[in-house]
Amino acid sequence: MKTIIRIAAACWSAFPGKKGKLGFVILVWFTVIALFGSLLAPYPKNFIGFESWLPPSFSHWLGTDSYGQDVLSQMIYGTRTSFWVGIIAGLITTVIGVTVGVVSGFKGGWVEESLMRVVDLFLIIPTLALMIILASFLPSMGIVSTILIIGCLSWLYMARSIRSQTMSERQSGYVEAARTIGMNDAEIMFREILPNIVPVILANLVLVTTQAVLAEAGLSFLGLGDPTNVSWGTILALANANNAVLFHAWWWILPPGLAIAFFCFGFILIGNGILEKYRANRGNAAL
Amino acid sequence: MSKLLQVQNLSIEYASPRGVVKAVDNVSFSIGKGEIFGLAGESGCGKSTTAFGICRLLRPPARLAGGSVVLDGIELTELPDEQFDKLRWSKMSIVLQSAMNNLNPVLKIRSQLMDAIVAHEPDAGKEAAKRAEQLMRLVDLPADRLDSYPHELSGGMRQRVVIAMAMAMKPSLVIMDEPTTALDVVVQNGIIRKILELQEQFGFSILFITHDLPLMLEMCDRIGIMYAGRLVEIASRQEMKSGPRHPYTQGLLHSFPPLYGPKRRLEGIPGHPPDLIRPPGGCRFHPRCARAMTQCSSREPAVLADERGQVACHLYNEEGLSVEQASAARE
Amino acid sequence: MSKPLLHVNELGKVFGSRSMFRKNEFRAVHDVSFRLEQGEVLAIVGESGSGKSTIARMLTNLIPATSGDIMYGGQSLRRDKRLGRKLPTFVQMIFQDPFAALNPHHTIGYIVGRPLLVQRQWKGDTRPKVLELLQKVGLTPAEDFIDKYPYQLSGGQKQRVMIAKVLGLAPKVIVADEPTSMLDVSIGVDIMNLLLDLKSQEQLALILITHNLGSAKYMADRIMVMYAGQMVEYGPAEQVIGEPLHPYTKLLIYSSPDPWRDASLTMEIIDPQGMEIPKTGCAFHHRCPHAGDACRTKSVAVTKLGGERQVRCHLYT
Repeated sequence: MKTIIRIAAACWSAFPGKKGKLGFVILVWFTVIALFGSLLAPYPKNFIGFESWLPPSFSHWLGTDSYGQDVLSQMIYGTRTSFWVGIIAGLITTVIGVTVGVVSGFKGGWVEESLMRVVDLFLIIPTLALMIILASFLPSMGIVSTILIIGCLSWLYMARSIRSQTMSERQSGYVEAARTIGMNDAEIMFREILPNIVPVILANLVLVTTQAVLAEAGLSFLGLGDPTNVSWGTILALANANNAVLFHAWWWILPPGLAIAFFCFGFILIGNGILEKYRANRGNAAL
Repeated sequence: MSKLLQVQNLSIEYASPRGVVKAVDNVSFSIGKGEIFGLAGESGCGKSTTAFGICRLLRPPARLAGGSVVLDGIELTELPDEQFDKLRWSKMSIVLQSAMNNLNPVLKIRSQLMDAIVAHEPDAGKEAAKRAEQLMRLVDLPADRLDSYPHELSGGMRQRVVIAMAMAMKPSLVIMDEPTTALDVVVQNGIIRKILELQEQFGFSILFITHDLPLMLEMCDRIGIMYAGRLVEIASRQEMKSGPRHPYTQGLLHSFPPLYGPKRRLEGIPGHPPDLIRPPGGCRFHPRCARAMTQCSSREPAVLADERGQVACHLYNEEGLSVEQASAARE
Repeated sequence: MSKPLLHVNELGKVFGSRSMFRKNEFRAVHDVSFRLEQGEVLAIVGESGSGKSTIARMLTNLIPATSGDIMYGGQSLRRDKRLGRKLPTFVQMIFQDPFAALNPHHTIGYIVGRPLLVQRQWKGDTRPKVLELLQKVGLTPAEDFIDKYPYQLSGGQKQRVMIAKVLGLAPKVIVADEPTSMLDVSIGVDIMNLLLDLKSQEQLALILITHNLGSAKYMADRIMVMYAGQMVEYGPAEQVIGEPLHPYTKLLIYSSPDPWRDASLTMEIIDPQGMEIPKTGCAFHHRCPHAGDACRTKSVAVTKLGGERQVRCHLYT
């Protein structure tokens, strides 16, 4: 227990500023729901047995949907899927995007040319279509394949923006200074340049995490996810498919929408908090 | 010489997260008609801020904290904006260091010059085109350059265009803030010569601001030296050349390696300029001054004005003599 | 004769790209040769675009030369691949902009200590050595500086950190590219004096790249004047400033503000009116008051005069 408190305290101080701490709280909230969802949910997953289109009440805090499922329970189970898809796919995207971007931006020449042509190739193929094809060809479409497909296909724009940022950093004095002392390329790229492009990486990280959550929703919407799995995206998709708007069933549409918005908001706040601390370390220089 | 511009106790502050910065502190000087007055000092001494304060170009968080600026009998600090806008350019124009990079890149020089003329003389009409050509001739640029875009001109030529614009309304005061700093010496020399020639021709006054003291000593009639927001010394060019009185001016002058004369070691000035949020008490230069005395850290030196100019330093008593000289005179 | 510390031979650099349809080339440096001995200070003087910074970057192998050769202690930078790797311990560079040349993300201790580890000049904790280096460049007490970040330092202090970093590798040659142009003059003098002191203490050779003739005269034993990528004049500093030979050097000196100059000195100045540098003949002929027919048509070679002086001008051939 003590170690947990200590870790929590360390995390608390690691997120700087009021904004960062608020973002941290939001993220912890979602993490708890994702981890202990099965204990928190009032009804079992995918349980159909209630009257449909019930507005919010004490027995169904967020009402029921057209299938007679408890929306709150579905939301809680859905958090787990969306959360892990967002975090892990976001991280995969970032790792690939940053590596490709920094290497191609720094090395230039044929390395950059070939990497960027690969990016262009992927960019002209509609990603969603590719995801659909991949998803339908894969033998089983669990959460792991969803994460991998999203993670491996959404780094393209990130790689581009990291590359252009790296190219401008490459011109700066400290890179030349590093060259004149004989530093090798790997060290210049990842110990000299990388810390200086943290703002761009953070901005992208927030974006790709959001995109991953939405892409998962999109895939689920098209029926390409695991049909037994619930996620914010599937709830939203179902609501849309069943004309929830026409029935004025706001309790079915708003919760997944707000959840997605808050999740991304938490990330943005943490990103901004880290940025502010980062700027203070540089004498509040404009970035 | 009658006074064209009189600056009295000008103070400018700006708020920073750490506190109020007194960028300009009680600065007073005047410029006569047809005089070239130089304001010199190192970065952050407040010389450019002073100029911005005079032509009301201060942008928040900077603000005028007090003092008066009188141009040709008109108090500028209290003038309503629309009246001041009329005054600007017609009585006073500004040439900034960055101006040559701030020409509109998508407009030809001709239309930019004509815009400047028409903006202040709406009924100039057809004459504006002719005037633009005259202005180009004034700064030794061929008239066919009017059809160039700014990027087709070299830095020196662009700065000449800016000077031509400043001449458009035949102002009586031209404020120049580091007009040649980004240029090579040969180009700089050409532009300075042009400025002096125009000044002789039209007789306007110039407030010339630069960190380059040797350049100032070549072209200005009188020179004011600023340090940490205060004006520490004013003297004529001759006085400055033959021997400035303030230890800071002396140090500054000896920081420029001379081209002529035998090689000798320059000493520079030890330390670095103070933090203007918490400036040192008394004379602001005393922590770096080799001749600092006890009263320098406690009492702000009074400004001594005499026929040699003015100086704010405890080394000089009322008679304008150094303390050593004064004691020698008593004996 | 022993090998000179640095021997630059007919160095040239052409920038540009050759595509299928057109050749886009710019000759930044052309046919520059000089020697540098231990303890000597050479100033390379010129205006922007004269190629002086390109030379500095070729000397430190930041960019490769396209012709000619640079030899350190008799080893060629072009042919000797081993020299390339250990070059950092032979030649080091001080950059013009100390604000940009120090990585804002690292502490002073890391910035100064890292080169020692990269070049395997030190094992283990670099802290004691870094403290010693900081002390040497006048950043005292060094303990106050070692854990700071660059933004907490003034411009002059940053430039001192840069010098400390460079000294750690004990190079034989230091190339200083406009080391004082971003600093206030009174601070700049301190940096120049520090470089001069270190030069005599450590027996360094110094190459000063500058546009300021005054600081060139103050620091250098010899001055090389560059114009349009070519060396136009070379000689002992006093003589080049005192009795310039090349019309361009004369123009440069005449244009440099100096209140103590002889006011009666006048000079005919030809305004190039934005004209480009001529491709044929002498590169200066369109601005030269003495230009004759030969200057317009024939390219000029360097003439060696007595007393180490060299000039590239038809007037002296």
